[in-house]
Formats: sequence, structure tokens, C-alpha cells
Amino acid sequence: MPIIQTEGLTKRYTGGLRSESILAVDDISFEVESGQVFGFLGPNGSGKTTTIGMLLGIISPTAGSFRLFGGQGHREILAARQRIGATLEYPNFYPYLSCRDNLRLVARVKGRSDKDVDVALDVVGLAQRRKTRFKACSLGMKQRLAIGATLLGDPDLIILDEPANGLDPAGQREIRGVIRRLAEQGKTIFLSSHILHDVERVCTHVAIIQKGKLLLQAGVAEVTSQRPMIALRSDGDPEALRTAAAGFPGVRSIDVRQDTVLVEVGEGEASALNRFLVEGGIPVAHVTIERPTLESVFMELTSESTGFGSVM
Amino acid sequence: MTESARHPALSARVWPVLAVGEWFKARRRPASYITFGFFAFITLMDHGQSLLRSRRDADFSYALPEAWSSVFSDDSVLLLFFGCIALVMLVSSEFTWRTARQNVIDGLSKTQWFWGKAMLLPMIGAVLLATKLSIGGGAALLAGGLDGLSGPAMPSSVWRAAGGLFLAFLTVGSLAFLFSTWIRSSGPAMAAWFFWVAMGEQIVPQLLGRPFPVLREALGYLPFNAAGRLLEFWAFDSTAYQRVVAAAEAAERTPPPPPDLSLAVAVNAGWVVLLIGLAFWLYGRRDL
Ligand SMILES: Nc1ncnc2c1ncn2[C@@H]1O[C@H](COP(=O)(O)OP(=O)(O)OP(=O)(O)O)[C@@H](O)[C@H]1O
Ligand SMILES: [Mg+2]
Repeated sequence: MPIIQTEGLTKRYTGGLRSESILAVDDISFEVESGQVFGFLGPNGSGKTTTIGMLLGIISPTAGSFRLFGGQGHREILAARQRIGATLEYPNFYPYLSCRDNLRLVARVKGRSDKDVDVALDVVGLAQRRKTRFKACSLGMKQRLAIGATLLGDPDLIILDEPANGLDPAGQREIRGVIRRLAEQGKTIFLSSHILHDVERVCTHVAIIQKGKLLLQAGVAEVTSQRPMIALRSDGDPEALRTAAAGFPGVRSIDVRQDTVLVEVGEGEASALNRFLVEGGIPVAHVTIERPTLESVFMELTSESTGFGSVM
Repeated sequence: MTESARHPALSARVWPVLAVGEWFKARRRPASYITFGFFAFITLMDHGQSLLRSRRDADFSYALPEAWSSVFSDDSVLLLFFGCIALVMLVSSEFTWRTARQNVIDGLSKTQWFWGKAMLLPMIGAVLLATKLSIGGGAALLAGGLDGLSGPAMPSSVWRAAGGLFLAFLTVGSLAFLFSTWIRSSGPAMAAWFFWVAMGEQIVPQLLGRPFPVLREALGYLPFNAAGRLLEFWAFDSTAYQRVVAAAEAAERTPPPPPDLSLAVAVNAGWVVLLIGLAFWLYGRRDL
């Protein structure tokens, strides 16, 4: 049974009198299975937060439907949501209350004790700062408090919307560590993020969304094993190498990046290409096989018009 | 443990959890105790002054049970104002801080969130009312003592008047609650409430009242004006009413018409249901 299952989920913001209507999420269907660490990727404004908001019951879908833990009716969804810990966009807490008091409020709603609160503070490394008022917390502390709050109910599904936003590299690594530990405990994790590198390291599955449309849903390994490229380097002119390699009959695409020529060939044709070049008397100093990174796939898929690259 | 035993949101146990949570948040909020402090201070000034005067001036009597007429008087609008200020601040900030969103993400349903917030209405009303009763009654007790009472210290009409003031607060508070949940920002919500009360219920009826007396009569049933019918002690106590009539006749003024309490209560209760219902409907249609 999928943990999350959406079917044609759509959201159109109609806005006020003067603002135009925005199709933020356009007919999205995807599934998240139990135990997956699911990366939900997309450029700014692509509809990630809106999609998550619909799953969490704070944004009502314009069309389409979804199931959580297999349940669909009002009552079933409410029950399913008790098994979810989630953050959406910014950490939202009462600014005048301390970290601990904020978590105590959350704990009451989730039917947890103050002891669970102290454990959660400990897990996210805020035990020392539990008396600090939320408004006096640094962004990193706020993010950690938000993650602490998601863990409170011992949820089966954890939804994190850009949890590493505003964190320094050490903080980002900590978050990765927390996510890995949770995944090892068998929790299902749904993670929206801009940090593709992170996603590639922790996620087992990804979906890529742009302008409200789902462009891809696949396993991370599947994505990054697609279309390996052969990287060739010679001591001479890369342009000469490029021209020579272009003569190989199996070439699908070819590109020069600095002093490296990237050639895409069919499955198992790498050695044939190498032989072809050697027999043609072209000196090749270095041959490696480059797998595409999630980032390169993401860039390629989303690069049209308002690309991600310009925003980053 | 069963699902509902563990998760308050799945059972009726959610209501006490919400009430305790609202109380906790309100109690810790600087804005709410500043508002409360101001209200208590002004009430204390008001009744403290009567107490001091009764000590100095032998002709001025300030004793129970007559003193209840000055506890429940048109000064009670202060309670309405302070209560609404506190209410707007506590409700609107949930939207500006996006904690309303987070509360739902944490497991409440949108409906539970709404009614949890609506509990603030009776809570704030009860706290301010208890403060007013203890300061007003306490001052009169200190001034007059318990000897030589002209009747029971707290006649049943005091409880009726307290109930009336509580209902009056629910009426104008519902209006404030509607603006808070609809506008979702404390400054503008407060301004809208004030504009409605001052403009819509005082100035406009004054202006329209001259050419259209019937309209003026009708506008007297708008929420704030309807609540005003529940403030005076004589609306709940026939002896107090007779005193008011006698005093008016002595001063050759027209006495106020005899109160129609059941109509006033019905109109106020009607507004509470209508305004909260409207707030719920508008809230339900929008995303958090
Ligand atoms: N409340 C709203 N009213 C109107 N439009 C909205 C609202 N919230 C979001 N949008 C619009 O919907 C689109 C998707 O926004 P959303 O916040 O879901 O994107 P996102 O993928 O989370 O972006 P980011 O990476 O910047 O967080 C955007 O064009 C945004 O302007
Ligand atoms: Mg977002």
C-alpha cells in the first residue's frame, strides 16, 4: 500500500479581485511507498509547498484527490495525519514562548508527554537552549526546532519542506544525518529540497516538478544510471579529439567541456570507441565513464525559459 | 493504546486539550497581560474612587447591594473594549505567525482549530467579568461592610446582570472574532471592528435617525447597540429600575423605558450565532 498516493491533484489560486489566477499544481499523480526517502524537487515557485499543503489539509485542492496510508475520507485522512510529522516552508512557532514551551504545545495536540519533548529537544541538539524564546533563536535553531516538532508524535511519515534552508554546511550535514537515521528506523520520508547534492545522497526516489507539472518520477539510481557519458581527454587540442570522436558510428551526442570531450554512446560501446580512436591514431590520455548527476538531469529537465540556473 | 486514546484530535478529548492550550498561550503572552493589567487598573481606579469618596463624604453611600448599580453600568463598555482588543490580538496573530497552519499540520482538523480559538471568547469574558465583579464588589464591601445591609449582599439579580454582561461581551466579541479570522491581521481587524462600532452603530444611526426614525430604531438592534441593552443593572433588577425612574422624575427627565430583557437576550444570542457562523463559513472557504 502506498503511503502517499495522489491522483490528478490540482490547485489553482484564484486570488483576490486584482491578482490573476495561478495554476500552481497541475494534474499531479505520484506515489510514495513505505520506507522510501522521496525527494520532491523543483525550481522556486514550481508548486512543491502547495502540493505538500494539500496533503496536510491546509490547502484545499481545486481538483483531484489523494490518499494517505490508503485512507481517503475526511475521518480517515484526519487519522492518517496523526501519523505524519511535517514542516512547511518556514518554522512556525509562537515567538514569545521558549523552544520547550512551543514543543509542549505541539506535544499536547499529539498526545505526548513533556518527557517526549525533552527527548526531541535532545535529538535536534537544542537541550541546552530549551529556554530560549523562539524569536531569539537563530534560523538554524528554528529549523532544528521544527524538525524536533515533527519527530514528537513518533510519526511513520515525515514530510520536510526545505529543511536545510538557511543552514550552514555543518547544519546541513546534521540534517542529512537525522534523515538517514530516520530512514534506517524504517520511516518514510518525503523531502522537498533545493540542495540536489543532498537529495542525491539521502534519497532513494525522486520526483521533479516544474510549473506545477510532474516531469519525472523514478528511483535515484535509475535516474543517475541513465545515459552514461564517456569522458575523453588528450594532451592535444580537445577540438581535434572531438572531430575524431564524432566519426565513430555509434555516437549519440557529443560535447566539449573545457579540455574534456563528453561522448554519449550506446550501452557497452565504450571500449569500441576507445579502439576506434586508437586505431585512428588519436592519442587519448584518459578515458572515464561519467554517470549523470541528479543535478545535471534536473538542469536538463527544467532548463527551459525560467530555468532554475538563473535563480540559483 | 487505541488510535483515539493516543491522538486527542480523534476524540472529544481534543476540546479540553485545546482549552488548556489556549489558556496557556494567552497567559504567557505579554500583550494579554498588559491588556488585562490596564483593564484591572482602570476598574480599580473607578471603584477605588467611590470607596475613597464614601470614606470622606458622609452623604455619599457606596454599599452593597445598591453599589451593584455602579458595577453594572454603561462603564461596562470598557470590559467590551478591552476584551475585544485581547481577543483580536490572540486570534489574528495565529495567522501572522502562521501557527494556525502549523496547528493543523500538527494534527488538528481545520474545524477543531476554529472552535478551539472560539473558546477564547468565553474565556476572556469570564476572566474580565470575574475581575470586574471582585474589584467592584470588593470596593463596595470595604466601603459599606456587611452590617446593616439593606438586602442580600449578592441578590440573584447580580448573577443575572453578570450573565447579561457576559452575553454582551460574547456579542461584540463575536464581531471582533469575525474580523480577526477574516482579516487575519490584528491592526486592520481592530480598526475594522472599531470602525463598525463607531461608524456603523453610532454615527450612521444618528445621521439616518433624523429623516428615518424607524431605521434608527432598527439600527439599535445591531450587535454593539444590542449588547448595550444588557449593561445596566436596572435591566435585571426591578428595585434598581424603580430607583432610576424615581431619580429621573425628580430631575424632570424622561425615565428609560422598562427593559424587555428576553428580547435583548434573544437578539444578542442571535448575533452570536450569526456572527460566529459567518466567521466559520468564511474561514472554511479559505486555505490556511
Ligand atoms: N496563497 C497563494 N496565493 C496565490 N498564489 C500562490 C499562493 N501560494 C503560492 N502561490 C503561487 O503558486 C506557485 C507555487 O508556489 P509554491 O509555494 O507551491 O512553490 P514552491 O515550489 O514551494 O517554491 P519555493 O521553492 O520557492 O518554495 C507560485 O507561482 C506562487 O506564486
Ligand atoms: Mg516552497
